[in-house]
Amino acid sequence: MTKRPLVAAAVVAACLAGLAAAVGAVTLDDFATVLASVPVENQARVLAALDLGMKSSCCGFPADQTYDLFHRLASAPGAASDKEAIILVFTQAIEQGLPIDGLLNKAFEGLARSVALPWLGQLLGQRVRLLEESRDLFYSRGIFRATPGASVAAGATALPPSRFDALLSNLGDALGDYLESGGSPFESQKIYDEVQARLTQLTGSVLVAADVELLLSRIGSEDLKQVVLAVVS
Amino acid sequence: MNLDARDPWDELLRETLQRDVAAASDSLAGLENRVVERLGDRSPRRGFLGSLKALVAPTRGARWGQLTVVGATACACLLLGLFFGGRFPFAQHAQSALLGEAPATAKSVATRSPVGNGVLFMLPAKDAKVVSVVGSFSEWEPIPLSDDNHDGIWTTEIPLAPGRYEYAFIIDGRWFGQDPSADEYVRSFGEYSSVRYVGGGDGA
Amino acid sequence: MYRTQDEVSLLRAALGGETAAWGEIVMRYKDAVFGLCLGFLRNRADAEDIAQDAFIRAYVNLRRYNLERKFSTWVFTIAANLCRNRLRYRRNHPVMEVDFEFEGGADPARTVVHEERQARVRKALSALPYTYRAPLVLRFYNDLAYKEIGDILAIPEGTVKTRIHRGKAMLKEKFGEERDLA
Repeated sequence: MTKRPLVAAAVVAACLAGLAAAVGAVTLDDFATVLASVPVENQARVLAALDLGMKSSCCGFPADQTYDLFHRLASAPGAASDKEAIILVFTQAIEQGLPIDGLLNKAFEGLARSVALPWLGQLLGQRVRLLEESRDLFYSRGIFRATPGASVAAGATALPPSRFDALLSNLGDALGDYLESGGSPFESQKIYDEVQARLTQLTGSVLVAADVELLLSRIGSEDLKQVVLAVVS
Repeated sequence: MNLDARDPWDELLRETLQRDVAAASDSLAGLENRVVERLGDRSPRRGFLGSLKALVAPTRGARWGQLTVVGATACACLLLGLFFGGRFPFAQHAQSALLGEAPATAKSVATRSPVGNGVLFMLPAKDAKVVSVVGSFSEWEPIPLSDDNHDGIWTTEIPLAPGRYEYAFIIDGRWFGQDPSADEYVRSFGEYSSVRYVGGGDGA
Repeated sequence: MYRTQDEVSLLRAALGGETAAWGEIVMRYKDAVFGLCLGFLRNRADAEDIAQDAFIRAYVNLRRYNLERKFSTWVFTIAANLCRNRLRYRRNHPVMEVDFEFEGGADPARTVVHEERQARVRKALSALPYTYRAPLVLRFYNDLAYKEIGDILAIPEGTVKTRIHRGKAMLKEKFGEERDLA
């Protein structure tokens, strides 16, 4: 019963992860210590990616949560190589500037459920590929992540980074959930329905209505099917 | 093989279906114990509240058998408690659980509590010793539920920002991923998790 | 202690609040009810879930059951209704179908060809619409008469016959497609 304040703190931390990172709650040294305890062979690469993520001023890189995850992973039973594989999945996502909130959630859940680490790594890898493919789809339909000072071509739309990431992250999550629930990659309409339902549910709370409308007006069920197929094949 | 012959086909169908069940023998093992465990001290005789429930919702709630006589009584106590505690609007949520509405339709009342940003998690689990909830709001670390008045209804309120949350209950060490008050379910790692949407969503 | 008791006494005891007597009833019917659910839903986790719910629901509503009627029909009806609700819900929430594993149930006497045929039937059955699959399962897994199937699914006996006939034809067709693909 004494945990309630802790929970509130955790929730606030999740909401204000960016602020926490900016304040410097977790440092690169903390990461170095936890990586050494795994131990991780590619430590330099992982740290470089984390540094990159933590330095990006926008959108609140969830450094605290990432640290918690690595910490929990380090103490979980399993081979160091399997743990490193999971850390590298995150590294890869961070290097590409992909939103990792959904990945963190899945990883925490997997650890809580004592899922075999190789399986967890595989699922997370699949989710990163879904995010990559989805982002490529966004780009191909003229939906970009705005960068300060960059101009936008006619017909293209540049969304503020946090809104772009939220859209991408939730699309990736919806596709990941669809696949992991056993959905067929060939049923384009089912995939589209699932995505549409998810995005619509989140409109007004996490997503901006205009962004959801924009996305749904520029992508179709076949596009989503291609994203899924590119990942599973 | 002659696919058009009538009897071999019937036999093949019969064998296949039986084989599927045989292969799922671990699901069958101890099923009676799980049922009895879930029944607790419940009796098939309907009490006043049970009758009331049937009167109010004669055709609804095909699946939430666990929220019946005992659960209904306990929910009613909870409602009364909340009423006198000046938190009546929240009763909508308890009522939806009481009526056993399908998760998809229970959404609008189940997700939001007007008390601050607190979202209520409630599970009837009679005879349980420890109940907790894990989810995306706690990095899947357990948050204990409490049953201070020992009525078998375990609750906790968690402050949540608007968004989508995945979670599951853990009852005496066993994961229970299908909260009757959930908006939907997902399957992760081959198991069910419950999902709640908090705030803002228009439910389309 | 309940093993040798007849069904009606067990049901009476359960009505009196003896949950252990209900446990014995569950034991006697669990294969049939679980098999029905598995056949209808084609998913093990869902089938286990619904089978449990069906027994709980039956117990809670036991007062509504007429002891002079066939108990199996009553409990099958409850299970079938719960399955239909679950399928309706699942339309928007797809899950993995036929996640059967056979490492435990392998029968060395069976030939590879036979295994393969069963696998094809399994696949074809999953692809069949529910309205045809349900009567087939009740007929060939639960060994029920057309009349009883009609009672459970709330359709006329004639419709049951037609659906079983058509269901089998569709199954053969799908089986054929599968074979051609192989």
